[in-house]
Amino acid sequence: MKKFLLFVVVLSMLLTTAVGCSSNKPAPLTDDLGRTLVLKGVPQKIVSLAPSSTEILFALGLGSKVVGTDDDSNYPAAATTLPHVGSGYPSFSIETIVSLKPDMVVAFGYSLPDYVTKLENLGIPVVVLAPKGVNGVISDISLIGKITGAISQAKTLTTSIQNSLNNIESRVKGVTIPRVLWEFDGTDPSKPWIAGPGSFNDSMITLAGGQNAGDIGPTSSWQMSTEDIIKADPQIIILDDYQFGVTVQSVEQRPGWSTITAVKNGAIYPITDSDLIDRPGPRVIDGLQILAQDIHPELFK
Amino acid sequence: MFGLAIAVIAVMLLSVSVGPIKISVMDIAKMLLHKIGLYGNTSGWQPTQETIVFQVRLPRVIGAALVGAALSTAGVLFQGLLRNPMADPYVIGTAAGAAFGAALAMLLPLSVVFYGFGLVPIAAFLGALGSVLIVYRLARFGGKAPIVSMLLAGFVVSSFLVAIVMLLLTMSDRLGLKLQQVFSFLMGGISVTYWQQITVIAPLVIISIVVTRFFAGHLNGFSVGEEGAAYLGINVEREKIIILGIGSLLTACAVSIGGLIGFVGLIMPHAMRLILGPDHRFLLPASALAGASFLMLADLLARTLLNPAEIPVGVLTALIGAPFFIYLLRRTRREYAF
Repeated sequence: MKKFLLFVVVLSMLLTTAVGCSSNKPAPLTDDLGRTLVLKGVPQKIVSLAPSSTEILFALGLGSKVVGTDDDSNYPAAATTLPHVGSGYPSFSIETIVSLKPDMVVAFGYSLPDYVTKLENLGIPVVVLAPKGVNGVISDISLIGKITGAISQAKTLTTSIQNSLNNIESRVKGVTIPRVLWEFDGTDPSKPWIAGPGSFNDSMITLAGGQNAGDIGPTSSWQMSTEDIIKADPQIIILDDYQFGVTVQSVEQRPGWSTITAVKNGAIYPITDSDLIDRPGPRVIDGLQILAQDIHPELFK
Repeated sequence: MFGLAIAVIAVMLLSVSVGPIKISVMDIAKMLLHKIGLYGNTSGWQPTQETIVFQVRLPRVIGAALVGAALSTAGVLFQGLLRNPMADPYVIGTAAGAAFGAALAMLLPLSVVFYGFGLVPIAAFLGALGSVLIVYRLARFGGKAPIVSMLLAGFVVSSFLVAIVMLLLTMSDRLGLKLQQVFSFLMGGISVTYWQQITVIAPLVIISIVVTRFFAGHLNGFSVGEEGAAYLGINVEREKIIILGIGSLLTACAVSIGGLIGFVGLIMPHAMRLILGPDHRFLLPASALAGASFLMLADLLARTLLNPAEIPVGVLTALIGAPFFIYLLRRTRREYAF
């Protein structure tokens, strides 16, 4: 009898394993840099190395599993009391991260940061997020949901973001597309830092129904001279340095700027909370909504 | 000398006429004549072009000329006073002081405009002058500030301030300091936004350069050493303070609208020495004019070569200055008299 029971148990184990192998095995998860993730079960202690990933984790209800964040994670309020592990520059404190004993670290970077290699050599799995545009944020939320088992929460969140995105896209469809200048830093008003091609902001402008007037630049953030700005003649100016004290009035008074269409039409819009727009997290859809309203006020009355 | 003055005007016209928006030299000449009331017809150009010329290009070109003249003159002064061919306007702490001041100003989330100057240029100006003051005080002992002490104090104060700037850079994330902003200051680039800036800097630079005319003979005296200069009847300590003061003021002016532009202040004086010989009475005005032309040209290339991207002008001063200087050095067959 005992032998028979043992036989049944072993048989059923073999069967389930076999079944698991043949049909149910999920495709291996990869992060945004295309690296295959090797995790030991569902992560219970997570360290987040970017404000955007901290926001994603908390929005999925995983706040209680986050044991540490980078220095810049300031949202939601509950995240600010967690232990800090430094910031990307000069470098994160690998020792502090290790001392928190995480079973997963979420990092951010469009190329592989060297601390990721260090952490993985120490046996800590790292997921690197590198979202491109709002769609990238949506797929990042799904990915984190799959890894952490918060699949239904992720589904709810991504559906809501997708719906808002569809709504904005359908509204701006077919409208005339204005040239939009995105100013990062006007400390030197004769050649302010402007969002260039390939920047996250560039993709946000496109989604909001505009065309980036700074896309002639060499890099994703570059210094555009007054003369080139006058030549590009933007119809809308977004002030992403408003929080550093650059005001609409000061921009209007810059020599030569009076000839620019946006200045003539009073179409200069300060960004009052740049975390909504510059940060590829769940709140980015709110930022996009604000941006679309600035670019196409007539469509969002 | 007359040729150099012509060159300044020619390079200035050329610089004003070249840019992303095409405006012919003729139209610019007409606009200038119109401005001073000698030409009535304004139909030849668009208002935008006039805005570009008078509010964007001209202030920048004049700014470049002033920075070039100031740095070259300061270079002659420091090289002559310190009797050191490797001396440049930054040798006694001005550069480090300016960088320190600028970095501190960039930390403050303020947007202040004072006579057209933002916080960064003002802090750079004060930092440059402040550090020279400290260097001089440190080197002064018993009523005298020997040249060796001054060079050493300059080196030490510079190293100390640079270390602080590096520390600030390391903590940039925590402090909210923008790295790219600091680097663009360190690499140098002409930044003039308002005419007001020119109306402040131009008199300071021009008067300083004119005043150097009266010390040119004494600088020649310094070439035989401090003791020798004293035997020639020169009040060495007093002259030293005045020359140091003027040189530092010129450098501070340059730094406030150009950041840390290298090479001009080191090489232009030597280039003029190769051509004109070591007499400071000719060397000073010639260096000022040549420096002005050279920097206008370098700035023109900086903003047009890779347009719309801008190359840091400090890159170009060395890139075109070094071959030019080697050419002069090889061509002039006589012995180099310093």
